[in-house]
Amino acid sequence: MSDVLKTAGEEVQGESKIKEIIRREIGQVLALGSLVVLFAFFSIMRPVFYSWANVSNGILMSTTVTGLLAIGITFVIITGGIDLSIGTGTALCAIMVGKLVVAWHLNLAGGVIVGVVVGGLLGVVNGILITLLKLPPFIATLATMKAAQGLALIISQMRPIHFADGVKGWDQIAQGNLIPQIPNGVTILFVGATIASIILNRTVLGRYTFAIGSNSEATKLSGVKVDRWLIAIYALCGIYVGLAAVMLTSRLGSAQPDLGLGYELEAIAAVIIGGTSILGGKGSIRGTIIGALIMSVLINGLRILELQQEWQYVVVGIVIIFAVWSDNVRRRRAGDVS
Amino acid sequence: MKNKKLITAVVALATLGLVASTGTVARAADKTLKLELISKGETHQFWQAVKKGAVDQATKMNATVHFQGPASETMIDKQLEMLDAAIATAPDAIGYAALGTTESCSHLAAANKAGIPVYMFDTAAKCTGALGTSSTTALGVAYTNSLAAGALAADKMAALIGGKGKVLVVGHSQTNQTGIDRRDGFINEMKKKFPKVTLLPTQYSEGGDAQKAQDIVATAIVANKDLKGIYGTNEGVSIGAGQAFKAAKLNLGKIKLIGFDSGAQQIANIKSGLQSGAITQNPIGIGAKTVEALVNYVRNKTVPKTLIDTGFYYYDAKTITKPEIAADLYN
Repeated sequence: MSDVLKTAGEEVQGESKIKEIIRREIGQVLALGSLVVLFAFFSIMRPVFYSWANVSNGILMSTTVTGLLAIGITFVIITGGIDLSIGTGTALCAIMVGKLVVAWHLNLAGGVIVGVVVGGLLGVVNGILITLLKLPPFIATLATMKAAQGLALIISQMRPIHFADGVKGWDQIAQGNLIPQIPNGVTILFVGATIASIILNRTVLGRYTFAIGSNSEATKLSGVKVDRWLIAIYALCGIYVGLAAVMLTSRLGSAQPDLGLGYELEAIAAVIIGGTSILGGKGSIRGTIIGALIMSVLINGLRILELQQEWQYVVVGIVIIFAVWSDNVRRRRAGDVS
Repeated sequence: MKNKKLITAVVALATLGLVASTGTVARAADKTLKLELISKGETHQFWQAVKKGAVDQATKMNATVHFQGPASETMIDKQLEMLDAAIATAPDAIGYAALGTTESCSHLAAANKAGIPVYMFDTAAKCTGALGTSSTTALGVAYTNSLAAGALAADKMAALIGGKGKVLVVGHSQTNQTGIDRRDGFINEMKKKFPKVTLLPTQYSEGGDAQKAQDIVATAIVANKDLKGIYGTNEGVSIGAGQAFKAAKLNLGKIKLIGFDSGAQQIANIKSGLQSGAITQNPIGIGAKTVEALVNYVRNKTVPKTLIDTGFYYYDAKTITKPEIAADLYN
């Protein structure tokens, strides 16, 4: 939550402070509650669900790519914007990483830097389209989504790039174990989330992210160079897209030119389930991670129960509706206009 | 005889001179034919191989091929737009791989009305009436018998796991006819011949998303400790399944994996033993046979067969270098 709200919270004294926190963070409390209930439900239905093998490889690892994308787009959504290009942007970054790592014999760090730089540049382009050309974020990023999809196909010549043994340890980025028992992909997801959380809550960039989302005009009038900060925010989102792409190539051992379309919607769903307002001004990284976990726990659990796939889609749809509806009800009760 | 040849040569040379001087084409049969091929996609290497087969055959037969397909195999409407646009350019003939097996019928009838011969490849449209010269749909189809290919995969899987145990089918589409046939061919064969094999409910990785396939297989491994085999119906699924084995640090060959098609990564996995084998179609043959049928029909009025089965093979680490198989594999 924003620093502005935090100071407001601190003025409230004693036990009412706890109540105040719960009231203020009720979106997240509800989301966390749903996560716990879902987890318990699947564990009772089939105990193998809560085995560490399933939790680490089945649930947490399947959250890494969409989780990183969701973290990035949380910033954008809090500003009241949207970034549809993160899905195909992932494909473009993955292909660039694959091409350059194989062609230039880059090491691990080099590959990661390529991903982050390409992703960041894509974000800068989005930011410029939105601020300088004044295109609505939905249109601007719809355009870059298409362009990124095309470029990924053109650059790859429509062939997947197989990393083979070209880069030593590339698969270790996602699948190694720097911390015993915990796949590196999961560690990276949570480190990435912590850093994002610090940026959002403790830096100027974070403060302006909330300010722009709450009232862009007022922020501009108070002397903040909104356009510049918006470009930086979209670039930050792009950097997380680059990280997601690195993670994806490491998981698959290859870069696939046609993979990523649709991932943007999964990321947006995670953000919304996590209690971030699609209208901007409110949101948190913690909520986003909980939202992403709810999605993976749900899908993994339904798979473990061997529910027919057609019904899996329906259940996921219902959960999204329920999550957003309960958030709306809560806000209306709290007298919130949005 | 000799004289006759000489005369022919002289006449030919004279004609050539005439053509060169007037700039007109001497005979319709000699002109470069323009073919439009509408495929289901361009991105998968399978379609690239079909394209290569088509283009190479066209070059041999003095024809040009314009090959195109939608970005994803779910975009039926996009593909039909391409088909309509191709008809509008009035090419000499059209090759068409049906995405919308029933949706395309009226569009194909329009081509027929415009007098453009159509030969289908990979997947036939399901319209009323039989294929052939009197059909308003197409002259015929060059295809892989996917039901039979799926059945072969089932036979090979049963042999690998000793005819009993749990097997998971991971499909790449619930609606695409090729995907359905590959799945049903496998499942029907297993049920008929190997009653001791238990088939888990089929899971789908939409569009062959390798990451989704990986998550599906990772979950299946945990949920079924006694899982014996996995059958993936396309390249993306096979890659994802192999990666899930790696992530779970399974011993090589603990769970048997049979996939479809080829590609650098899948071939590497088969060579290393991570994957048991795969079924390959003959994409180059599909492209070549389609072009051959169309050009011969337009130029010589040779009526093509209504069904050209271009064949398929099962390959594994041992048979991967056999010439008839290696020719169909692509990186």
